[in-house]
Amino acid sequence: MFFYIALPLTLIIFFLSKRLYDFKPWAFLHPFLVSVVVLIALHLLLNLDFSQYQSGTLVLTKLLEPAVVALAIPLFMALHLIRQKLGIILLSCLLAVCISFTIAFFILPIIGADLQTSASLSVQSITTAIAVEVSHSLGGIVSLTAAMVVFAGLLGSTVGKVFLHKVGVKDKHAVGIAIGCASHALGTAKLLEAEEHQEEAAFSSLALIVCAIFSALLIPLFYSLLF
Amino acid sequence: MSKLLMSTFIFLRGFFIILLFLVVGKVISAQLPIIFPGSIIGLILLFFSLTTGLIKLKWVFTTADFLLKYMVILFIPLAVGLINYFDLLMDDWVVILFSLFFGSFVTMFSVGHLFQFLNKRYRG
Repeated sequence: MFFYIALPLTLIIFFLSKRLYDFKPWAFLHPFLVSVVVLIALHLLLNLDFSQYQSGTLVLTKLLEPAVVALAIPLFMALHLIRQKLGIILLSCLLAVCISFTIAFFILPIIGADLQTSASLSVQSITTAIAVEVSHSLGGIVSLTAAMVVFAGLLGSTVGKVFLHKVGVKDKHAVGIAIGCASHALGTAKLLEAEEHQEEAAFSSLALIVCAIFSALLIPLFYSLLF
Repeated sequence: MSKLLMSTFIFLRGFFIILLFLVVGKVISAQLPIIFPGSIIGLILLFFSLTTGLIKLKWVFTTADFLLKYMVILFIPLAVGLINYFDLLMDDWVVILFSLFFGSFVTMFSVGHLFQFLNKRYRG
């Protein structure tokens, strides 16, 4: 029974949350966050079977891959902007990957992370598909990585823009790159929602792709050189 | 009626093209010696097909626009799945929270400033 209502329920909750957010646009009322919290609360309160929910909403999860392919369109539409700035985009993404690696393998152990946890968290800011593969290849805990990717995406998509403005990053393109590097597709999805953020979204899509490629190639390489 | 048919056609055409690139990406991904997701390969191929004019933007624009506008919904089931990881999250919560906040904010701050600085410096 729950299998059949999982998808409509998700859509209804999402669009209601969106209405709420239009009415009160506070970061912590982000429709995604509200929908997830409401759905988790429903599962816990009504003791619902998550595996039924999962199979009922499989079509949404399956659409993630075509949606990633569709990111080629904003990227293409921003081609003229990207062409001028390719060098600094690549450099910024390289920095992002190095920061993630350094934090995960050199700073987290200080506060008590073991190598397995570090490996699981080293890919928190890249898109799920690649994060899971890289984490797996380093011997990390795949479900922890999947959870972290969602959290990092959530953080960037809810407070990313506000945070960047607060710390003095006002350049539209820099905002896009920073959000793409830290919060992958979820941060980008948030930027894509608003008409006035299309330029940021294009840079964010590019950053998420470049970071994904760099991470897939470099993190296993650094790891094998160091450990 | 014909208008409805036409927009359905336009939508399906776009969807078909996107799926085609996804499938090609997955086939290539399966042949690679390293692990690399097929969806990203599909994205790169579609991007180059658009730049070379092999695929026209208007063929895929409507579908892509729709998919991307509601992309955030696609992540909801994944995030609700966190229910299964509660124990895991509780075990290592200090490290996890630190990594999440410190990692994300340091990345956004450094990358944002680096890009902004370089962008200003090399403008024009």
